Amino acid sequence: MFPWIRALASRTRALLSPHHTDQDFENELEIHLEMLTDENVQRGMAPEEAKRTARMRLGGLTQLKETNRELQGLPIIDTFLQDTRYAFRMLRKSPGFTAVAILTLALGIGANTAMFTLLHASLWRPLPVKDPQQVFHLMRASFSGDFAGEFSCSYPLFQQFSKIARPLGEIFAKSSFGSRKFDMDGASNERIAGEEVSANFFSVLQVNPVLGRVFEPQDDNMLGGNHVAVLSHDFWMRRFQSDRSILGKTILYDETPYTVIGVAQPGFTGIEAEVSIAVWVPLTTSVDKTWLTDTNVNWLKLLVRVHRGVVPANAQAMFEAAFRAYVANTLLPGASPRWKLMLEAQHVTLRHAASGLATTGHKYEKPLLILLGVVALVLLISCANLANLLLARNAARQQEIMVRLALGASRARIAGQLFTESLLLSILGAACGIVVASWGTRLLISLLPQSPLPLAFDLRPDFAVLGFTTATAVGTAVLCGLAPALRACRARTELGLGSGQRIATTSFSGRFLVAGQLALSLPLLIGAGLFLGTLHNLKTSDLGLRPENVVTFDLSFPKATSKDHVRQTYTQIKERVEAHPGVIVASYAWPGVYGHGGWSNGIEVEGRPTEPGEDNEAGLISAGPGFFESIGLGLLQGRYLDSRDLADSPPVAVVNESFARHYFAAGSPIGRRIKLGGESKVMREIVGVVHDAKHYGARERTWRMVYVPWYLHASEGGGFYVRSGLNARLLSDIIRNEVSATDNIAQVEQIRPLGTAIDDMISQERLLATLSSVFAALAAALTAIGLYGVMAYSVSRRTNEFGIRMAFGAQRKDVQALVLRQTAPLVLSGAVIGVAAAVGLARALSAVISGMLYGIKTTDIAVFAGATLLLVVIALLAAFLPARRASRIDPMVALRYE
Amino acid sequence: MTGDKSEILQGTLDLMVLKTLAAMGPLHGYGIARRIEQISEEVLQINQGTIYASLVRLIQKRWISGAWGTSNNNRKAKFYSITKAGRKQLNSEWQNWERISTVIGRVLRVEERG
Repeated sequence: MFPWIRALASRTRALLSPHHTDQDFENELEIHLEMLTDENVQRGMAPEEAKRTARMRLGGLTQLKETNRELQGLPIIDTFLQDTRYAFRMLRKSPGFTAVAILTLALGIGANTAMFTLLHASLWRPLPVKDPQQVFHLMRASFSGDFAGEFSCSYPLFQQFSKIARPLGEIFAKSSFGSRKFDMDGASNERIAGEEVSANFFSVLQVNPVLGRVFEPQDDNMLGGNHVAVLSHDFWMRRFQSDRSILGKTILYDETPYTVIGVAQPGFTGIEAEVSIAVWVPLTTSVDKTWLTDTNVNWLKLLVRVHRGVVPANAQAMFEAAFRAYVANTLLPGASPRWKLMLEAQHVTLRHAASGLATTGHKYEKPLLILLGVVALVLLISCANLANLLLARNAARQQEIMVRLALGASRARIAGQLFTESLLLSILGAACGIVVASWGTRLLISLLPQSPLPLAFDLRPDFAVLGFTTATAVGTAVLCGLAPALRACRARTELGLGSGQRIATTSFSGRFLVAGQLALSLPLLIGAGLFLGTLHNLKTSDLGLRPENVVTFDLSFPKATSKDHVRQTYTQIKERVEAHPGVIVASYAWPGVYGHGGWSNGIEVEGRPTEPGEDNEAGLISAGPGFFESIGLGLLQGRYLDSRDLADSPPVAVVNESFARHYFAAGSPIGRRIKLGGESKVMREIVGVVHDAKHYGARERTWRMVYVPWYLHASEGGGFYVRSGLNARLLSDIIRNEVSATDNIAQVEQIRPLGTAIDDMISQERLLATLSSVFAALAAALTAIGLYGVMAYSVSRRTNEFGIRMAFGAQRKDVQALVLRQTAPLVLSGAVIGVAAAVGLARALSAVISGMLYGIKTTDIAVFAGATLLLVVIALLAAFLPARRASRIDPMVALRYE
Repeated sequence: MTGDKSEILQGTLDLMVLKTLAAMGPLHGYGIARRIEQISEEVLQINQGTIYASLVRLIQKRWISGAWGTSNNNRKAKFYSITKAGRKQLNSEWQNWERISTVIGRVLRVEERG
């Protein structure tokens, strides 16, 4: 090993002082020559002859010097620098080609980097804590059918797990992060991202304070804990300008006073990947005391740092056993049959949280991964185009290459130089690609639904992203440049240095590449078609409502507001808003529809007892007067709930079609009585039946719904729905004015059209449909360009032939037909392979993709046929242009053309 | 021409240069080339310039060292001398060579009988 290193060292030294080494050797050679000449003279030769013979015996001076230089220096670097300079010159000489090439690459590499950056920032980037791979999300989830989903845990469950966790690791908990009210020195109306965490949160994650201290065990206890808060470094810098006197000051967090006791280390923004938390407070200080003991209030997310050496699978098994015991002892007794089923289907799993809990990220993981595959294919297609371009360009430089070969250049050297050109192109393309990527990532994020909290992805490029881009650039260079480089050198020198550009070899590989591009584009087009179809189906699916012209908003009140106050405010706002001309009806409901969560319970129907094992669950909504009219839910029988249904009126309810069908089949439900699970003494009379509607999302199954009067949940408030003929801005102003006129402590949140709220639920599908169409279109365009290029080149080579044909009487149409016929096998083979590839992909990925589609199969014939037809038409159009040019050739000119 | 030498040929030439320096003491380029030609009784007629490639390789491996000095005719020349590591290498190469040639000799003799 060592001699090798020593050789490298001396070579590097020589590289740094080349002149010295060269001069030295030249002197040495001169002396050697003199000595040889002397020897010859001594043998009796004449001085001239002596010198000549000496020279021959020594060998070619130039070559010797060259060899010496090669052995001494680092020829690779020398060569590389030389090649790079030459490549720069060549690229500058053909600006058009260079611009197109770099643009294509920038788009391809940029798109890939953007996707990767987003995935990395939201899912893969490790947390800035010690040993992030030891951190897991202790998840309570169910993976089967009806009850699938993740669930939060209750405080008693957290305590249970903490007890048994000791030998395995340490458990810590946090509540859902959210937008919290923040107040300081009376300047109100600030909202920040805040989180409630267990006392060991910082110590388990080993996050240190840069000022003051972090939470200690006594800060979080069952008696209410200490009202202390820790700020994030970022928040401290932005909001308080790193003022050290913040320690000890009081802030109002969620309208409760807390003392600031510390600032966390820089770079730590919590364990949610996409949110930057500003303030942390202890769990027990932020909630009602009953939440700490109620086993049915599930509000915590649990995490565990597993000790080194503990196998996660074992830890999971232990937690699962503890969970089952807990369920059996604490949760099952007294649970309804449906609840029992649900509990039995739940398990505990440990999910890696090295990159944090990416709640939003996980939702988009699958679509983003699919899109990553899509852009990779687009990049491949771009590379094929570039390879074709390079092939054509090298063919034009064949003469230059032959001359160099004849002068003694090695093929390796020439191939290396051609490859350096494509490497340079790729690197320039990648550099532009990074710029494209930063726009692209921002664009992607803007396509995600607006959330009340500003999403704070850490988009700073880090080594992973840069590494990815570099690898892509180099891979591209290899793909595009290697084949043309090798091909150029294989050309036989016997072809002569004269004019004559008939290199038959390029044509085949050019067509092969284009066929490949067609084959790659087709699955992309089909995929885009499927996703567009899904989006269309979702958008046009009958939700049972008429959401057009409806605006929705929320109201929020300070914590201590009385129930009566809330009730009054709601009623008054409704009246005042409705008083405006143009407003048709305003109403409210709790829980609201589309994005506000849900309420469900078991229902008992009088005279029809529930069979054992029967699912008697129904969705419930407390609807204010005018609710059904405001969202456009049609009436089938009886009447809507309205203003006569108050607290002191007879208890009533309205049900939907599905409910009526399930319980009353033929008969009418009007007048029959039902009992809600939560009201053991109240029998409600059914007064109306409405259409089925989907309140929780287009993909949700249709629930049996029961609508009860709003006064039952008047204290919770709920969402407002206003149907009007006014434009959005005007209505928005009216709403704000009326709210502030009615009540000066209520705050209006998130005024938006109901359509937007509905659209937000299908944001995943929208993202996929939009982007996959864009990329499919890009792929098709690139393929068309590639096809055009190849056909144009082929036509230009056959100019002579066409001239002869036309001279012999061929018509324009005949020549066009000839060219198109040449194209046909290319397009056909590409299309056939493409369809086969698409079918194969559909089968292989069906598990993943079919979950994302709606109302359309992965092998939908219409989409397949449509996409194929579209691609064939595009291809033929692309080939038609050169065909037309071929037919316009003047035979006389063509015959003279060499 | 520069890339055509096989590794074996290169190695052999390096070995001969080492041996020459070990036997003759410090020599300049011309001297080494002349000596090799003489010893091989003019069978090996190499382009004298080719030994410089050997010399560079040997210097890089620290088996010889080079320094400018004066020759007997008071001419300035670069002299090369073998180093301790070089001698060690020479020894081991020699032993290798002896072993290989003995074995091959034996094998060839066996074949002839059949």
